[in-house]
Amino acid sequence: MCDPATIGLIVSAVGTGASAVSKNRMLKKQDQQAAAGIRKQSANQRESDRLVNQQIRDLDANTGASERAASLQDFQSAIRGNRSATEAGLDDPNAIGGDRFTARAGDASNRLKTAGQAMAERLSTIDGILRQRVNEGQDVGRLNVDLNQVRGNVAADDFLTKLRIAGERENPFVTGGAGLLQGFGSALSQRQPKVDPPTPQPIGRGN
Amino acid sequence: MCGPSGNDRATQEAQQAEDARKRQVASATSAIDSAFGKRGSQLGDFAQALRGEFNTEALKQKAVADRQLKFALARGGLTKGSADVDANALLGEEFQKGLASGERGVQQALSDLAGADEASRQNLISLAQGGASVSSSAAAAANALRSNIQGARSSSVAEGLGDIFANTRNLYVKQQESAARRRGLEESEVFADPFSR
Repeated sequence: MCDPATIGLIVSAVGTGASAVSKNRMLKKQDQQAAAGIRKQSANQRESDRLVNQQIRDLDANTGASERAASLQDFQSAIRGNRSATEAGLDDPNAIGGDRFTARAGDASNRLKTAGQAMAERLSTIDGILRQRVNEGQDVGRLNVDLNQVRGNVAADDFLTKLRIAGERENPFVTGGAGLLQGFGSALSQRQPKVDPPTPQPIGRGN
Repeated sequence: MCGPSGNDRATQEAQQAEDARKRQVASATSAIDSAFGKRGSQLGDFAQALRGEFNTEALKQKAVADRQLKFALARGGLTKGSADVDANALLGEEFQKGLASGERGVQQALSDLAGADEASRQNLISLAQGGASVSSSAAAAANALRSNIQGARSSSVAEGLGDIFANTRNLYVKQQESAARRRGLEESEVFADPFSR
């Protein structure tokens, strides 16, 4: 029953099993590390998605109205600030021009105001749209800076995950012990069983 | 049960992450297209305002040129003559050319603006698709292109139409010079003979 060959096979099987269990445990740990790394990268991806989505929402909500209003205010201030110079030839402080001059000068002054307002509105429509684009360009520039930071995190997490996966090795004592058992078992199983030499029979004595 | 299935957690995580990424790309691309799709009316407003600005400028120049031509022809004794017809025809031609030039400026500005929006749209879609892995240099290049376009367009709008009645104005200037010369001759005659007046 317990001949050395059988014992050798059992020892070898125990060694192989220990090695397989150790390897499987290592692979499982490596898999867990890889999964954790992917989860971290997913978190990074979510962060970059959040940034991009925010930019898209801002872009969608921006009708350019605020830029146009700001531009209109700038043009109107410029026109109002120089009104006295604009209408310099149209006033008649000494009233020497007569009623007709006064009436015509008043009409011209009103026309100037209307034309100035219309011009300010046209120019602010043009400039407001251009300002909106320039602002959006700057926002995309800022988005790129933020995404660069996420890219840095991605590279760092990738490096750490690779290190962690590489760090998950088999237990050297288990590996070594399993190897020894396998070797010992193999040697034991190949060992020839001790066979007693046959006892010589006397030949022809009785005859 | 506990063998291979226990070691494919990473695969499952990767699959989930990839599915989420695809969903995000699809929804972000659709949102970007929708946001830029709304800008059609804004481009129309831009063109209308620019056209209005150019037309106002052209009409103002035309009114001044009409007045100057009228006085120049009268001063030269050419009113209702063939020179009057020729000069007014030239004035009309220059006005038409000015309007066409303004419209060309409008179309060019509109095209630049639409091109910049399209570059911006593509840039954002790239960012949505690549997220954290997209090349930052490509995005920066698109951004720089956009800023350049804005700068160029702003200056072109500021430049306006220029002087569209250069040829007709030449006639007026010549008339003014002739008038000045005539006045000078009269004055020199007075100087030569103070009692001639």
